Amino acid sequence: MSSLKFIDTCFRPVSARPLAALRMGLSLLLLLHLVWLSNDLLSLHGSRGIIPWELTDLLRDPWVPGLPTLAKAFVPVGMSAHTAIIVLLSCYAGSLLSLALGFHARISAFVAWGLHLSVMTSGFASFYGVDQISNTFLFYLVLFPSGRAWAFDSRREETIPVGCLRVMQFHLCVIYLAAGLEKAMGIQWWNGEAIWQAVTQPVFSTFDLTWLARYSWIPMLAGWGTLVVEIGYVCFICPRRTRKAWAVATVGLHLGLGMLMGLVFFSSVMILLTCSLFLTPERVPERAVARVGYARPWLRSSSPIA
Amino acid sequence: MKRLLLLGAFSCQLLLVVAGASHLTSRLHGPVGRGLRFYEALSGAGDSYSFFAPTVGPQLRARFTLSTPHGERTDETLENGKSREVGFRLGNIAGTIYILGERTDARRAFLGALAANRFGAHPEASSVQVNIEEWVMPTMVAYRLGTRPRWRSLYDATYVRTPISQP
Repeated sequence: MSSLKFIDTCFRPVSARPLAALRMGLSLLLLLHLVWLSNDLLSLHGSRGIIPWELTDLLRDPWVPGLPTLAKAFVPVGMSAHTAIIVLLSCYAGSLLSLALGFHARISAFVAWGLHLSVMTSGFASFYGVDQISNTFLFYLVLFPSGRAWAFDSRREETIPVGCLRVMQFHLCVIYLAAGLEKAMGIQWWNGEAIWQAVTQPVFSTFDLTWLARYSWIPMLAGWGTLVVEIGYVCFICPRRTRKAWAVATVGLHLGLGMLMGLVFFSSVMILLTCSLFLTPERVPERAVARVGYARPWLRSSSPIA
Repeated sequence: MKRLLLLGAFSCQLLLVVAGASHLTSRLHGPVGRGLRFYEALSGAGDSYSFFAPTVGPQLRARFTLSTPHGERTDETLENGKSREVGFRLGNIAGTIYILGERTDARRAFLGALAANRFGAHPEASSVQVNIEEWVMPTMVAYRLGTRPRWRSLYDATYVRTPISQP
């Protein structure tokens, strides 16, 4: 009986808005990022790019098709590989726009995820952490019903099972905990050298911060702060009492990364994940239609159960 | 029953997320390991999240010294004139070549590809020296004592354009 109750609890209906916020935010950020890289996309991924396809094939997972594999599928219809890449990247942009609008959300998410994975696979030599994280959450958008709120083709707002939200929240907590614990294992994060080394690398340096060497306690405190925010994320983002404070601290951490290290896209994605999954209210709006067979007394009175 | 199956699937996904973040699934080999890695590649469940951890590694870059038949020499990097976001990605290419360190043939092929790319961008160049360099930043204490950062060469290779005979 108690296990049945547990299962029922996992499928309790909650607002679809957190998932919809993730859907809209992530697809728009990826679209902006695509536009941002547009001048260099063919250098990074094209048939005449910096790294030839034969070499990227050496590094990628042979079971996951990259853009070259998909492009070769267009050869029988007389399309050159170069044109096929442009078509595929245009499809990727189109699917992201369609996903943001919530037009056939699941199909759009599937196309966007598939093409994002291909871009990531073929751009193995040049991808970094944010591409992995985007892939993970696009995968969740394929699995979960993200088109039940704020969607072009959804006339009435509906609910989602709370389990969908909890899986993504849990995954985000694991991301922060793992990142924090791995940092804590390095002495650099305790003595401030990690912050010093990071902000003084030419690729990350946005301001001249070499004066920090004279005030070594500042990078040291910043390092400790990063560890506290990341390791404490799982403990303090879940309870409602501390959620807002921890979300503010996390957003502050990523704003710092964005401003001081120029990791704007990475920071934007991480801020979006915390805001959509933890700060968007999950309480069912009054007019929402419950799509899962679970009836709380307060829900019965206000909305029909499908 | 459907709910039970869904709950089982969610639980498996989350177990994989934890195992991946703990670097456990990368130790699995054989068909099970391959199958898991395929699923992880699709879902991102097996990713580890070692961003700047446990230490912040040095920045790597590819630097090119181009020479013309008239003896003119110019230096450039892949990131020259690119946006920061593109710069991160191009910098990672140098990182990939460094990771390939022990696979000499693959490293040569990557360096050759970079040289070919520069020859394409500079038709006037007769030779290109490709340098993979790392940024050596002194510690805060050493910096206070006067040590300054510098680029240190890790690998270099020189490629010479050979004229193609006309048919």
